[in-house]
Amino acid sequence: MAPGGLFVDHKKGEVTEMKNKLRDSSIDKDPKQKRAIMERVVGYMTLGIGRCHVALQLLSAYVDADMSPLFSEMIMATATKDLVQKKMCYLYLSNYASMQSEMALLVINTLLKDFHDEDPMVRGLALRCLCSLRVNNILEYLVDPVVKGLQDASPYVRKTAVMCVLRIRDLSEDIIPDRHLVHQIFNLLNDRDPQVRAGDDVVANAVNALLELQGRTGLSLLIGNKNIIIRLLQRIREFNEWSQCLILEVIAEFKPNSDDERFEIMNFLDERLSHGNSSVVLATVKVFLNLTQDRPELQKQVVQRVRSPLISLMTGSSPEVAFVLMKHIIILIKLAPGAFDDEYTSFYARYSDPQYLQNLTEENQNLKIKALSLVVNLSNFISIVDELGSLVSSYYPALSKEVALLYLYPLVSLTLVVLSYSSLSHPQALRAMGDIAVRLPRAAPLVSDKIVVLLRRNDPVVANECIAVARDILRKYPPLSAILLQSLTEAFYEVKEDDAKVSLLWVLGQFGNDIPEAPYLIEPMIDEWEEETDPAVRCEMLTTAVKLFFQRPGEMQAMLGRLLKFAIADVSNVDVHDRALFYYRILSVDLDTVIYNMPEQRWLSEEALKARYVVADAAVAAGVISDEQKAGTDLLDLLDEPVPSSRGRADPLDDSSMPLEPSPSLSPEAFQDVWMQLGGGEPFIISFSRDSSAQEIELLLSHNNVRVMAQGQASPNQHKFFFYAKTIGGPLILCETTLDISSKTLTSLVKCNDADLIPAFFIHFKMSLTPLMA
Amino acid sequence: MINSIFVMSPTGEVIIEKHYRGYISRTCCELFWNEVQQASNPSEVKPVMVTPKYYVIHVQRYGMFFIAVVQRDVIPLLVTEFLHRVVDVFRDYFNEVSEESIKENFITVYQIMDEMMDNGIPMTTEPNVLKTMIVPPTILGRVATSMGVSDKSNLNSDLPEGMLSSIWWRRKGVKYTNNEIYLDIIEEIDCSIDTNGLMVTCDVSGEVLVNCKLSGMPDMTLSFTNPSIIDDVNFHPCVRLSRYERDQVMSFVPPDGKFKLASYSVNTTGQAVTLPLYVKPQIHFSGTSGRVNVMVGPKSNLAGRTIEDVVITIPFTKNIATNNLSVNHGTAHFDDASKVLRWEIGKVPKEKSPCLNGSVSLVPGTETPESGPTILVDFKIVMFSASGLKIDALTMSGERYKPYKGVRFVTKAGRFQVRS
Repeated sequence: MAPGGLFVDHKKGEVTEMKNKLRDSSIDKDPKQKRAIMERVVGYMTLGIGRCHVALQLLSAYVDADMSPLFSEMIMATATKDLVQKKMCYLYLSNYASMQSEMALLVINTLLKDFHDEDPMVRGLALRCLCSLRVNNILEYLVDPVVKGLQDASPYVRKTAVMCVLRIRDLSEDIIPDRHLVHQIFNLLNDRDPQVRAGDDVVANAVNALLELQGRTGLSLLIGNKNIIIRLLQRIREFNEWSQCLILEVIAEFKPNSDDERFEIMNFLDERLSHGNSSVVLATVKVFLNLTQDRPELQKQVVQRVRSPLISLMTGSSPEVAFVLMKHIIILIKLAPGAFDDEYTSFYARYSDPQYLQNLTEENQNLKIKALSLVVNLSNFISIVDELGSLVSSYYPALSKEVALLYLYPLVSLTLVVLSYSSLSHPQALRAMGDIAVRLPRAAPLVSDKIVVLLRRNDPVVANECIAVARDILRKYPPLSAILLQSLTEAFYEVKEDDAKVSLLWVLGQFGNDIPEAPYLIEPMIDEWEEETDPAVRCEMLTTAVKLFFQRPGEMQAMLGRLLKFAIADVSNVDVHDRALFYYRILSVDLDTVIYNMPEQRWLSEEALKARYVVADAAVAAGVISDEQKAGTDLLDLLDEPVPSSRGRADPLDDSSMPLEPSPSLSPEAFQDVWMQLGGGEPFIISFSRDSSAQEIELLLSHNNVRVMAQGQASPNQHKFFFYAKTIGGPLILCETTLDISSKTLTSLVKCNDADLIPAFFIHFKMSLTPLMA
Repeated sequence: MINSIFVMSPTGEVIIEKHYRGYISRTCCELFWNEVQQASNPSEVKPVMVTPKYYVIHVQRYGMFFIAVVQRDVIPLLVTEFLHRVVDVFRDYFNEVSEESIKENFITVYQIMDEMMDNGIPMTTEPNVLKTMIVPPTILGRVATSMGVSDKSNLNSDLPEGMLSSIWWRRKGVKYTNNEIYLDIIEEIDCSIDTNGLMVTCDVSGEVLVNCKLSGMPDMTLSFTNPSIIDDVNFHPCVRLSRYERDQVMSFVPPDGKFKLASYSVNTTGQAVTLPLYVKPQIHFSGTSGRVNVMVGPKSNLAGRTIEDVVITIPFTKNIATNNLSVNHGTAHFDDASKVLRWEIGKVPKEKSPCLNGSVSLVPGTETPESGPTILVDFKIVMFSASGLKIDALTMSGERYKPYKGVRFVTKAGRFQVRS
């Protein structure tokens, strides 16, 4: 047949031709040929069914496929011994009887006649056909044959008859109790026929019919009879897969009286879990679960038992089956938490999974990720979090990312809770957390909170990881500093790991304005330069100090100067050295711009860069300065150039200040010698109107060319300084100063060769400190 | 149980409708089709859909939709399994399942559906038994029927005696001049490999496919030297489950013709499965361009077998503008519409490792992907078993003749994915 052969229009004459052929008695002798004709008739008829809407069909709107003119011929053809022909006739008759009611009676009679045939097959077929007729008032003709059929000697007829009872029910509800049909069907459950297979079908159909006719009553009828249950159980292997499902459904409702019975049933059904049909497996699982409903510990074992069959069914089957299985598995996980934990890799999303497995369903559930969030435990959460993390960043469809995030959220909190209560440390997991927090805005505050909690545990390993995670979070979400800064600052002195130091230094530099004590946190580190041997830490110190310097120049300048000095002097690591030099040179170009204007405009705008190069190149060309000089040769220039504070510059007193050498050089030894030589000296006291710090004093004085030689905490309330200055072309002036923080007083002892200079120095000294007295 | 079954073409046309329990209007198919059209991809439509009156359960295969409408709660998966079985039977009968093949074999389709289900309850679903009732169409037969001169009916002259025998999956009186039985053991490796080349998941599952051409009622026994490799197994109904539980031997009277004896999953928890080949992708994006480098090569544990039919599929992001990718072996084709690169390597050569190299550029102004795509790998190795499963013996009893027995192992890539 050419494609769609039956779909082509055919000539009107064909029906007549077939009619003639069917009447031709010579064809009767050749069953094969006759069969072919009938097949054609049926073919056209089915075409009608297929092409037209059934409702339209009833209006006989399908003219070109109308085979009804052949009705009487087909009825005659029914009287054949050939089963195939008979089958086709039945097909034809049941289709047309409903349309030609005057013919219906004829059909019924023919079928009833066949129902008394010797051949059980014919009887069965006739009964089936009879019951499928859609004809009005047919009920009276049906009941008797069906009742008879239920008691037929042949299992095939009995089996058919059971199904026919259901059809009768559809026509009239009352007839069922009237004729005690339920009872009759119930008796069939004990059907024992030597022809095993058909006998089983009778039983299966009977079970089905009982359930359909009686619903819950039918079910309780079945499970109330232990003999029936035992019989069904014992024979379950012989039933076909679909009937097995049905029987398992019934057994699932059975309530065993004892544990022995319970175990017996389960042992018996255990092998069903290896069945190839997933619905049989699921039905068996249901039986197991129901049997152990009131025994939670047993039920958990059951879940363990069914785990591997379910997982292998799920991984190996079509997406539709996997979908349903996943739904069931999630219920099982909730029922027996922990049972599926080891199978967590089975729930990893695959690229080719259909969307509903890895994506949003209408209840916002991504089945696989949901399962993952349920099976997470101490031993596997690292891999799961990792996997989810990679899902978030990977190429999966955007939606699935969203869902992964959705589930990461509770997972993150879970993991962190686990972390905060377990004595184990999980650096890897923490790192994964950080990863997630960075990708998932919603998780970040939560992770931050947990990190604060974890930092308080004072566990060095955890703390180190926490700091790294906190740094990443702050990088992405600066506003979260409100949560994190406090504990990070506290952690500053505890930290021993170099990595963590680097992270903290970065935080310090980044949030210098928000951490009041920032400069003083870094100061001890600077002063212990020799002890921080790690180049990464040293580099970060440099960067942080410079960053802080930009934010708080007053407090930082001297410190930065020291640091740069240390770093430039230290040649053990090229990176550190070069970075220090680099910062130094940049800063020494024009400090004013760096601090008070926008450095990028001054340094990074193209004109500025060009201009700088032009000037420098011109200078080199003219031989005014060497290349070396161009880069800046006096490394300590920075230390000596006072930072011009805007306030200081506006200060009119500035002009009257003492002419002091901007960069006096004096070694500590020299200082000590001179100090010892001079002896005596003049004391004076300054009172401050507000709290002041040693750093402030030092800074203010250094602005005015009074340098500090040494300083330190003398007692909790007292800070001691040794200052020195040099008049231009004149003698040295030395000064020992004690700051009493509680009384806000500064007591100084000034020594100088030329005692006349001491009062002038005192004024200069006091002037320098005016900001503290205002 | 099942009220009606509809078969829908990829374009949403209802080709087949079969009502088992009274008539259900096609409107529920329209509801279903609406869902399909709303989804960005038909495969996103959930297998179970709830409408005000019915549950609509469907499976998608060969681009077609097989839809069952049920009115009440049913045994889980029964409907899904049944629909799959219907498709399997169609494929068995017509060699392929498509809109054309179904339209062409219209009558047979209705006959099959009549036999497979009665009053909404699955009846005869075993292809071998069905074939004793409805003979599959042959090309010759089809031509003859269309010309109206056929002398060969596609209805068998006998009703299924199988229905009445205890071994209902096998018909009586099968006769072959050459008695042969062929076993294909096909194993599939499903695995995901992460960006660092570590295995995230790895499952090996297998199927034992049998083509049985044996006369009479042979009783077969299949045993393995290392059955402990098999972790979990699902059998064809012909396998005696109790015997397998006891001796780990598959004992069965085979159906006639082709069938799936068992499907199993391999225990991969004990020892890690070594993959037969490696795929090393390096795909990095920065700014508006990306560098791509993918290397493929065999691992040494193949016992001299060659890896065949290797195909690497790289689904790039949609914002790829241009590419200049080249390969040193096989052919690579970049589909501009879907942005999928398909690199057909074929046999992996021994002397060099195939390599894909080049760069891609992104449409300016679009988002730079955070990571590379997931690469799908396909391959086949004949006479190689990924799990190491070995057949000990395949013996026959119950008949006198000596059958010819053939066994073939094939290892294939299942869902083999490499993240980059």
